[in-house]
Amino acid sequence: MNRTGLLWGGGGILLLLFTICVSATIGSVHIPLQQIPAILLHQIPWLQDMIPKTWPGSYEQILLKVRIPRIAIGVLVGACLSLSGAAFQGVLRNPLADPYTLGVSSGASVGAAFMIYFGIQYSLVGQWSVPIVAFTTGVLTLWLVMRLAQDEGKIPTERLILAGVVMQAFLGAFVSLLVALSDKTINEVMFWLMGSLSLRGWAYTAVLGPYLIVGFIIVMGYARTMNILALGEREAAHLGIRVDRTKMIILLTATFMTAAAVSVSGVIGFVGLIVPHMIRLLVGSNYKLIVPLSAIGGGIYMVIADTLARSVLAPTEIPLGVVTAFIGAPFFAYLLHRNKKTRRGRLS
Amino acid sequence: MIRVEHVDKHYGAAKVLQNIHFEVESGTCLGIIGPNGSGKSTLLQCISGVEPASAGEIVIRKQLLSQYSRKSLSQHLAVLQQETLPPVGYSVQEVLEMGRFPFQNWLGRDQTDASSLIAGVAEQLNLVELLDRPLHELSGGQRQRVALGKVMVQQPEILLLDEPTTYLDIRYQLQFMDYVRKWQRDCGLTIIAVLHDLNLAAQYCDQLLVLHEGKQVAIGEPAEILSRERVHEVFGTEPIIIPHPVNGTPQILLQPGSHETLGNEAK
Repeated sequence: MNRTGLLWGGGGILLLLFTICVSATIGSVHIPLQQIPAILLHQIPWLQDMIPKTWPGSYEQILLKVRIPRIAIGVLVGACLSLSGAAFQGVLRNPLADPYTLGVSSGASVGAAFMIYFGIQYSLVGQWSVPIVAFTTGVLTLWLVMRLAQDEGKIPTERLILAGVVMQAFLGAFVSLLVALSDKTINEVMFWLMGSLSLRGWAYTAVLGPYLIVGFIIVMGYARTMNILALGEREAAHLGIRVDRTKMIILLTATFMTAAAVSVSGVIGFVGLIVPHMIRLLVGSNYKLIVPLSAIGGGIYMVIADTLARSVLAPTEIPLGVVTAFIGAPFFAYLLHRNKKTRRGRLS
Repeated sequence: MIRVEHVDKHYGAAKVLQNIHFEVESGTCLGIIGPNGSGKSTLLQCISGVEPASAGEIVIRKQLLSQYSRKSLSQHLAVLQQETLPPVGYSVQEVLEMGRFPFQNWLGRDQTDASSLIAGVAEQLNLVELLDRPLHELSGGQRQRVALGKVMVQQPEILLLDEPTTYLDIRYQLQFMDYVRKWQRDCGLTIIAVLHDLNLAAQYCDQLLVLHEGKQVAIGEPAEILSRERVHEVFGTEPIIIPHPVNGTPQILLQPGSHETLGNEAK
């Protein structure tokens, strides 16, 4: 059990590092793959003298100022979204649950669309105006959904999902209205809604990083509890779990992580739904593995998707949400198919 | 061991339980019987602490139920439900280990090494060959045996059973109740069981509690409780009651066509 965990975790991290390096080679200027680890390690003070500098200074500039910050925010957003997705699916015990189940994305979208529609997206605090407003409206939406769902102090799962769906539909209509009303700004609102990681400097990484770290620690701490929740809420209560409290803590943690990710990157669909399912098909239903591997897998998935988004039709960028769905759906279909075959094989 | 004192339970205006009052001694088995909707499962949920009683007190091991934390309660009291475990991907071994959850700290470390305990339970319940199989590949009877194994690993002093044999065929019903009885005798377990099957209840319980429309009708030994009049009064059917030819417990034979129709019941 612990050995398989280490194998999967180690393999996952290696794959993530490899993906990052490959992604960093791609762009208007090609940087050879073998130079990327050297350039990056060169930045670490103690290692500086050990690695001779054999590359032009422009490579270093491109990597550190443009490509790596974008890759870093991609890893963080992907990790936040799929970690939240795993948490939502674990607590709500619903395979269709994803980080947006409780309406956070549509709440954040309303805030962002409002700012962009009225042309005030840089008014208050410069580039941070949209993220701050989007985060606030996202969390407000969560609060409304919780109020709507709760019944005598308890929060039944079905009510929670329904309240989320209702809120999503209502706020989604509001966003569509803003998109329809605007003629000149239509692309900007739409582009925000479909997600993008372009022009996100290191500051965004610094903002999102703490959310991921704190969120990961909390969700990981509840991994054993989520394993038991899979047996049913009653069963979990009989084994000594305070079910409603656990649900609240995990859902709030996951939603804050999601709101933070959405507010810097826009609404990137599919990652939070599909990555935890992929992980589950690969390693089984133990959340002690699913939680960390979802975070790593989400990072890998997002880096690949963003690399395609910025390179396939360069210099035009494809909206990230389009790419995540385009490559995610067929891969997921393949995994489902393979899973069916191995299960048959075992039974016969 | 367990004292239920004047317990009421209502949901809004609906009174589901009224003035339930009884005591269960350590090491004995109390069966709760009664027709559908008489409040049997609700009473069990009140005792297990997942539903708070609306009035009255429940005392477990000389301490008020409301003073236990969820976790410390689950170190003394285990519940086996009517629905078997869901067909999830966990192996039997993993599910048995989950029975140790109340005794683990937040890192997942157990107070004692439970591996020999788990191996012993698997041995006792004939689960050894199934240990590596995932739950969704097992039959209903096997899954219920795993569920029993999980509560045995929990090592409670009190076991609550909620119609545990409902989905089992007669062989598995007997096998299940025999396992429980053996466990009770080996460890001095105290049991409260909601049972649908009056014949099983009469054979395996020391005391029977009869519920009817949320009220406690009678409590006592099976031989005094299972009379023709009482079964007629509570269940609205005219049975034949004969002593079991081997062990003498009262057993019920059903007569087709002897039930009151719903119209009569309303009068």
